[in-house]
Amino acid sequence: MDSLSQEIAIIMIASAFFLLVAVGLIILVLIYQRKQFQFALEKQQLNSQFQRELLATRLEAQEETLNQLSTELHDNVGQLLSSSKLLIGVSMRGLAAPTQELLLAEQTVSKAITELRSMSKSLNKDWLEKFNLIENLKAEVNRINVSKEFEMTFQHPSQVELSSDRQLVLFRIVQEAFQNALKHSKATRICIVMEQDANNLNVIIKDDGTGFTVADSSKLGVGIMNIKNRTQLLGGTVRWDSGDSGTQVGIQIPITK
Amino acid sequence: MKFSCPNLLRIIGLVNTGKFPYPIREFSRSAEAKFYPSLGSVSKVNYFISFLLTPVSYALFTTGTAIYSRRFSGELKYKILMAYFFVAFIFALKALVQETSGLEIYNRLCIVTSIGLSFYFFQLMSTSSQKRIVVLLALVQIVYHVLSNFILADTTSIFDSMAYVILSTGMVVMIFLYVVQLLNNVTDEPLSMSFDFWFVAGQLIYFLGSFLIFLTFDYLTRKISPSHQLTDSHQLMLVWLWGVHNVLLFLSSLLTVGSVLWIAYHKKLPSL
Repeated sequence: MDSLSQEIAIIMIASAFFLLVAVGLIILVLIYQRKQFQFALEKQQLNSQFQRELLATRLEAQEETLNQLSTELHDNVGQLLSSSKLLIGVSMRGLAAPTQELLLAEQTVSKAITELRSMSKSLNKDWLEKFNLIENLKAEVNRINVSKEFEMTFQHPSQVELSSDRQLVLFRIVQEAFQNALKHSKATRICIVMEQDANNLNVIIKDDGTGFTVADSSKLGVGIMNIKNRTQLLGGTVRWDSGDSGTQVGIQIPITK
Repeated sequence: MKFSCPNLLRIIGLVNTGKFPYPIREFSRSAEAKFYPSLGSVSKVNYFISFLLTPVSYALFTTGTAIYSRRFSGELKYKILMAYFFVAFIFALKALVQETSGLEIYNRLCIVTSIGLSFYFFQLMSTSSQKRIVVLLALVQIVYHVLSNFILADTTSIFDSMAYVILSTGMVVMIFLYVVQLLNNVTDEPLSMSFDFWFVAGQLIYFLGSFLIFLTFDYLTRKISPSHQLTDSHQLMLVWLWGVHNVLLFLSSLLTVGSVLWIAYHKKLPSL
């Protein structure tokens, strides 16, 4: 082989080597980036799991506080009211004709005791766990309808395919949503619709109030944040549609059997 | 490799010596082409690989970048890239069909490539230090081109090896900067779905693979001048060597078009 042929052969071999280096580098970058990508994904998943656990712990603490509050209401304020009612009764028996004011006071205290018991029940975790979500929501709806200031309806399936602890979290979500409507929207009618399919449980809470804008949402900040956090804890989604004709809160929770 | 040229200017191709890449019309006129008496006998395959593959590759590049720019990202860097490849395609066609040597077109193409790809890499870099390095490399390339093509020497009839070597070196450095950037940052999307990655990978294959061909091409073309009295087979070997360069360019263009099709397939766009 002459010198030119040798030179060209050397160039070809060296170029092939350079080409291999280029291809090798591309493959290395791909492998490295894929590992980095997987690592970042795992980190994200761990972080997400940590956030969920943190949220669960916080909600558990919140439930515990509500539980204590419920016990305090029942055992302390409830007892005080019962004592007051008893004393009013004793006073009434001592009088030949009880005054109208005393009768009104007796009725008011009785009503306060009933309200307090009902509220205490809705805050008490142990009591809630004895009943299912539908029963508890029915009780809440009745409690609100008794006031006659609002008209509340509730459509629901015969039962929901959720574990009791998940039902409790969902109950708090729905409770928060209609409490927002009662407090802020000037609504007179509130409608709760619950539907269940093979994969999801969908809950819609609709009111005929004034609605709210993004600017107003700061007023509802804590309530909305609680709803979002709790829905996230259940792995579900929540969306708000608000306008002049009212607000609709749509919650979708996956059913995990 | 030992260079026989006595001075630096000869080595870097600043003297009027060889004529390659050679326009096909001059190839076909074997009787007239005194330096390359038998190149008219180049086979069809060799002809396609060594000559037609350049415009074909640039046409593929233009198509790939046009589709990506139109369908996926309207960023300026892709539009500039598309414009550059279209200009390169026109240059390659012109070099193929014109009567005289197309070497000055290849030399102009080199500076167009410097500007087009440097702009793309400038846009691609995320830090100011990386951008500064890209600007510096582009300036070196442009200054050298201006000096070698317009001030120091007439390079209309030689292949400006040094210009291509500076271009290749600059591009490989820019590519390494991009790789460092990739390794330091994790994106939300897999790298296999990144057009930039596949395009840059193609450029790495082309510029690194062709580096030695660029470096030695002027030296080799001078070797086949009449004074060395080499045979037709030597000339054909050189044609093949340029063909290897074209194959690398074609691979690079295939990678670019392939990446666009791959991304389109995975993003399930209705049509291209």
